[in-house]
Amino acid sequence: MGINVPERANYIRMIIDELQRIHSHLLWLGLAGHFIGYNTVWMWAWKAREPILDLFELISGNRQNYAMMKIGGVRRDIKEEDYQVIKKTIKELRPVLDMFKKVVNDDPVIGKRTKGVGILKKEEGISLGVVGPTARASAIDIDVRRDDAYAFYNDISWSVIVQQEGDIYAKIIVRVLEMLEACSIIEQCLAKIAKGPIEVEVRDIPEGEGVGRVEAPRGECFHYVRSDGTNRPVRHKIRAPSFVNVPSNIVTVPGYTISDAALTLAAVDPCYCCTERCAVFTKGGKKVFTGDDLIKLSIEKTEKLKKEYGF
Amino acid sequence: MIKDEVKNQLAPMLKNWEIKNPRRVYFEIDKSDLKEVARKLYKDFNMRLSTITGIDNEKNFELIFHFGMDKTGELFNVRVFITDKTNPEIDSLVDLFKASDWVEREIHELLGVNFKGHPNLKHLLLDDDWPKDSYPLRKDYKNE
Repeated sequence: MGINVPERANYIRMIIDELQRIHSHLLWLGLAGHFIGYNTVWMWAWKAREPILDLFELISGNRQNYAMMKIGGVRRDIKEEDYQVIKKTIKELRPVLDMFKKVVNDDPVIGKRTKGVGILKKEEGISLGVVGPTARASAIDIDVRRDDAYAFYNDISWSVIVQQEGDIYAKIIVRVLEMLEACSIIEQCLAKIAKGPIEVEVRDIPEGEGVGRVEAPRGECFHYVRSDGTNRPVRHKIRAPSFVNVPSNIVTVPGYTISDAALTLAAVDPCYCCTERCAVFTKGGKKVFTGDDLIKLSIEKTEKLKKEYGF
Repeated sequence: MIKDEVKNQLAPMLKNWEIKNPRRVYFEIDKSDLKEVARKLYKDFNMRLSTITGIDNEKNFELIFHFGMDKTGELFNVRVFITDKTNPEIDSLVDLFKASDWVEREIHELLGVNFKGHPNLKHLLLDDDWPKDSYPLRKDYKNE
C-alpha cells in the first residue's frame, strides 16, 4: 500500500505486543499450574498478570480487547507520564519471573510431571508446521519477529528462546524465558521512543493483494488480503497459530497416561473454550472424559507424586 | 539468492513470476505441477507451508499456497487455478507434510474443492449434517 507507519507507532505496537505476550504466557502458566494441582502457581501467576492488565487499562481504557493497532499506525498514544508506570511494573515483574524460573527448575514434582512427557519431535513439528513456543520448544528455531522482521525488532537486542527436548518442560522454559525477553524489549522501546505522529491517514485502499504476519504469543499469526479497490476485501484469510499447533496433539498425547492428557493438550496453549474433551476407545466401547475429569486425573497424579517425594 | 535458486529450480513450471517486495514473491503454476513444486519447496528449500488461501473468482477457483522460507523471511505465494468449477479437484499434499491436513479439510468444506489423496477429507468446522453441496465461501452461496 506504500504506507510508512510512523516510528512512534511502531514502538507503541512493539510495547503493546510484548505486554500481550507477557499477559498471555502468565495466563498459560497459571492454567498449567492449576492442571497439575499447583494452585499456588495458578494464583501467583495470575496475580503477576494483573498489573499488566492494569497497564492495558491505563494505555487503552480496556484490559483485554485494547484495539490499539490500525491500518497506518495505532489508535491511541502512550502518554509520556505513563512511561514510568510501565517501567515500574516491568521492574517489579522481573523478580517474580525469576521466582517462577526457579520454581520450575527446582521442584521435583513439576519436573516429574513435565520432563519427557508429551514430546513433539523436531521432524514431526516441521511436518506439522507448528509455530511459536510450540515449535521453539522442539528445536525449531523460528520467530517472525526476527525472521520476517517488522517494526524495530531488528534494531534492538533480544534473543529467540529455543529448547531442544520438545517436552512440556521445554514449553514452560520457552515461555518463562520469553517473558524476560519481552521485559527487556519493552524497556528498550521506552528508552528509544521519541515524540512524533502515531498514524498516517489512510483514505483509499488500492487494488492488490498482500500477506502480513506477526509473532503473536502463540506463534505466527498470518493474514492474506486481496482488495479490488472498494471498501470491502475480496478475500481476507486469517490463520491463527492454534490452527497449526493444536494438531500436534495427534503425536504428543498417545503413549502417555490419560492423567497427562490435560497438561499435554494445554501445552500448546490452545483456545480451550469448546474443545476441552476427549473420547477414550477401549474394547468395551467409548468413554468420554470432560475437561474437569481430565484435570481431576491430572491433579490426582501430582498428589501421588507429592506423597512419593514426602511433601 | 534464494529467489534466483527457486526460480531456476522451478523454471519450466513457473508462470507470472512477480516480486511484490523483497520478501514477498508470487508465481503461478499448473495444477498438475503442484505436488512437484510443493515437494521441491519443502524438501529441497526447507520451506514451511504457512497456510492455503482459497478464493472463488466466479470464473474459477484460486488456491494460494503460502510457503515461507523462515531463514530469510521470504514468502513464496504459489498460485494455482482450478478451472473446472463443476468438479473442482486438486492433489492433496498430506503425504508430503501434515501441515496441509486441516487447511485442506477447511477449503474442502468451505469452497467444495476435492483434495485427491487426502486420507480423511471430512468436515473440520462445519456440522456433520451440513447440507450437501452448500459451500459458505462460494460467491453464489445463499445464507438462509
